[in-house]
Amino acid sequence: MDWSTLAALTVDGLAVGSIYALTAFGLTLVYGLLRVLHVAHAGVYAVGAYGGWLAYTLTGNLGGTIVVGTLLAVIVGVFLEWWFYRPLQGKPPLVPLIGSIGLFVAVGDLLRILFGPYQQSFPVLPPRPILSPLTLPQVAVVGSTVLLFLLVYVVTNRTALGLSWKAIAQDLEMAAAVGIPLPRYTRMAFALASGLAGVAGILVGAYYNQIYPSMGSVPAYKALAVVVLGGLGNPWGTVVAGVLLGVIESIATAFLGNQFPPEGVAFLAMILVLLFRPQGLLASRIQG
Amino acid sequence: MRKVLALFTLVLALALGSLGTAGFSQMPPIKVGVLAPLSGFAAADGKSVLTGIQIAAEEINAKGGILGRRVELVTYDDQADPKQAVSFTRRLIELERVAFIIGGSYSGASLAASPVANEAGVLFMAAYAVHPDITRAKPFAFRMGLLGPVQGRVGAQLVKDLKLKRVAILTIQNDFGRALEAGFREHAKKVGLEVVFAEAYPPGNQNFTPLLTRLRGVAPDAIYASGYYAEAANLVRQARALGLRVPIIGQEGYDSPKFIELAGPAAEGVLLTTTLDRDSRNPEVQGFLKKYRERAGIPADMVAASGFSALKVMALSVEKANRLDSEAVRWALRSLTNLESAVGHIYYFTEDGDPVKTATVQVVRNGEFRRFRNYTDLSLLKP
Amino acid sequence: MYSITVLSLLCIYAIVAISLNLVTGLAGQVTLGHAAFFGIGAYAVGFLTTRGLPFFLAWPVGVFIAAGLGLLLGGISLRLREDFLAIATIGFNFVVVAAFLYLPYFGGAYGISGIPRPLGNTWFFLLILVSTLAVMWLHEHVRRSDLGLALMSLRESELAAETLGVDVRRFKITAFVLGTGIAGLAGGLYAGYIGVIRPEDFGFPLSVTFLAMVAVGGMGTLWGPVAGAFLLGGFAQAFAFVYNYQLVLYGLLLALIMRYRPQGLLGRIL
Repeated sequence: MDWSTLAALTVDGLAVGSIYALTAFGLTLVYGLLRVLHVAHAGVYAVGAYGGWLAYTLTGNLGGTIVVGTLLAVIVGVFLEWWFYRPLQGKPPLVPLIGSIGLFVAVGDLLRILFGPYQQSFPVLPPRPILSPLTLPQVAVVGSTVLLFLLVYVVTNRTALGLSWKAIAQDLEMAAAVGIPLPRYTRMAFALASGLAGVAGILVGAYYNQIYPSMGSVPAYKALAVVVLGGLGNPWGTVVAGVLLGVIESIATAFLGNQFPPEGVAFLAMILVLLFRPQGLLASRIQG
Repeated sequence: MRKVLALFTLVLALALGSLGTAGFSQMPPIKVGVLAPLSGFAAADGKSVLTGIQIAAEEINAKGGILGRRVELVTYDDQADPKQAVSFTRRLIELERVAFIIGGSYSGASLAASPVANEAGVLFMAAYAVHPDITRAKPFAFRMGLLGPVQGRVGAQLVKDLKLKRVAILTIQNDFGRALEAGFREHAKKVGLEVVFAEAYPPGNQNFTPLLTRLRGVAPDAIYASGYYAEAANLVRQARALGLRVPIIGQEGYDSPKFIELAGPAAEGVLLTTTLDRDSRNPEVQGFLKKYRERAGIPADMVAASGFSALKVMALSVEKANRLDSEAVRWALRSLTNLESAVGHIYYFTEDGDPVKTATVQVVRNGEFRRFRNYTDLSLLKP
Repeated sequence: MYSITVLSLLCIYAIVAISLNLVTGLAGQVTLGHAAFFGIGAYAVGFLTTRGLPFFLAWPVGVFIAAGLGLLLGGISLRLREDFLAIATIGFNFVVVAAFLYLPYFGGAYGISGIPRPLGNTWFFLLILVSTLAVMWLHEHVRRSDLGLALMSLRESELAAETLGVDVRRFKITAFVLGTGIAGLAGGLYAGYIGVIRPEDFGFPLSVTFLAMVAVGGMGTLWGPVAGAFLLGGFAQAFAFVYNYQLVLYGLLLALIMRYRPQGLLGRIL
């Protein structure tokens, strides 16, 4: 394979990896604060996509699409935090996990009942080449992801918010003792996580030109793998892991195809990481 | 459980009472069981097939029903899950006492359901599932769709007839894709095609760019790619974006207006082997296309047409047998010949219960499926 | 026949839920890969009986293979803390399903169909029923034994258990081997029951369903998992009349029970 092919594959992987990163970031943030695996996060992602799609079909306005989709995702995410996760604090982690899976199933099926089972097209990003090998959707996805993470970085590292999250993640009781208002801060974390998932949903719908009720199923478990590779609860490690996974997946599929079961290999790698490097692949270099 | 059932019966009785008897005699309606994946991953096909079956039932009832009795559908959602399919099949047979069952689900669920129905001596008609074992050695199990391997052969013949030689295969990794691939390869060898690339991808896959990038490197004359319309739309869109201009040949999985909507301009020129011929002059086909569009608001797909035909053919067989007895209806069905259905001209049903029928190649032109050519060569179409 | 068909499946579910309760409910090891062992039992029976081996010879083979892999996973579990173990078992499930799909002889995407049923419907149901009762008895026996008390103490606090002189490692592994072996036993029954098995039938979603049965019914008890298996396993049949809303109701039920009765329907207060 020549360099231009490799470059094309890398760009493709970066776009896919960006989506992984956007989705998994929220998952790991929530895990860090509440110690729950928020599977319904993938449902929030689908809600964001449907919200954006609805706004787009009704108004045709691209800005409105993103705002509506993101807002809807934030509302659903914050509601789940308030109604579901907060009251279950302190219960064994299995309890919110099972409930969260139930919520994920319910959200996906509710979307089917409301909007029908068929795939809907979401043609906001036609696959036009911009600058070979870059295409418009790739540039849009990678560009908005970089922009969003820059924003998140600035907000969390330049304000008290990031510091408080770190404090809560490290020691919940201590954080409460020094007067950090836990509910407010976890709610803000859910808002941020859900907003990013909503954007990810819109981007993935536009990238592949289709949204559908069960679109959260793949990210639901794939994001888990990303979160582990990044070191559970380490947001920036997760971002790097997500992007890396996207690129590796793209290049490996091109060279090896599906001669080996891709998911089987990925999860085998994940088990090995858990066994021998439970702090995540990148923990020593990148700290959240 | 019993309470729930009692409640269910009550609701059903009330609902039926309010509907009235619309001019039918005092004879009880004929109950027809329907299994369809109405929720879960296969929900889109479930909705299509159910709509097709409902249109058939309305059409039959408007013409006086079967044997003068109204057709009443009893529908259960099997979620394309074999476990649900087994329980619901028994339920349809024993509690609902249906006359026969239309299997509107995928191969897995149908494979689990058909032996149960067969054992109980109740006719089972799989609308579009492709797995050969659904009907094999089961006298009461029949099929409406084209068998996977047969359709694969038609695809290879098409490549040959387009005077192309070097072909790349992309297969969806499930029983549907594997059956198609097997048929394609077998016939490709026979007619001297050269398979220069073969890969599989998991169902639900969205990113085809990596595989297509390597495929581009071997410069094939044509791509034979199996999959359902959601995968196919991405496959075709990304192939065109990568500058692959060779013919892409799909199969009935592509056969949905949603394919054209999702793939956009990239769908133009894509060929697919299927059984619903939009340019057929046959009133059965045109009548169905019109009714479906009126009812669903979108153009029909192959799955809906198969469900529609499955019920129509079963109704015809019952009329021909002139009674509901499974054994008699089975023989009536087996003796049907040269039948025009919404999914092709059926020459006859084989001993296994599979149809020998015409296949059509449709091409996407100006955002619509149009006939490219039809295949009527029996040596190609026999299972 | 209909009720026997439904009850057979519910009893098979109950066996799996009880076996999972040994691992999760008693030993406190959360696993989200139990469907893999169920699948191993099913594939062993499917593979061997379609090649002419009688069911009653193939059945124990599946149990042994499942228990053997359970031993491996038990060993892995010693190295991992709670959440990591849960995620690792998800990975294990994916690896096993990939093996069904990719290893030759397992029928690939076609799976295995035409698996013979060893007995008539009624007798086969009786076999399932007897197996269920036997597994229930075993569960109670384990729970009341020294081993069970040790397992319970392990659930409360690993540290406390160790101070009491309980060999934590041995008990965790014993729980895994027992639990996974019984899941394999249930899988063998399932293969005979359903007649057709495919790789995706034993995926991660089924593992979730199994764990949900235990959690919804009430962990650590005998009747909790049984109730959970009947409730969730029979849900689709009981709610068939609202067929368009089955799945959303199922999801909401899980969420509502966990939210308002986190200990499960028959569980002790947490």
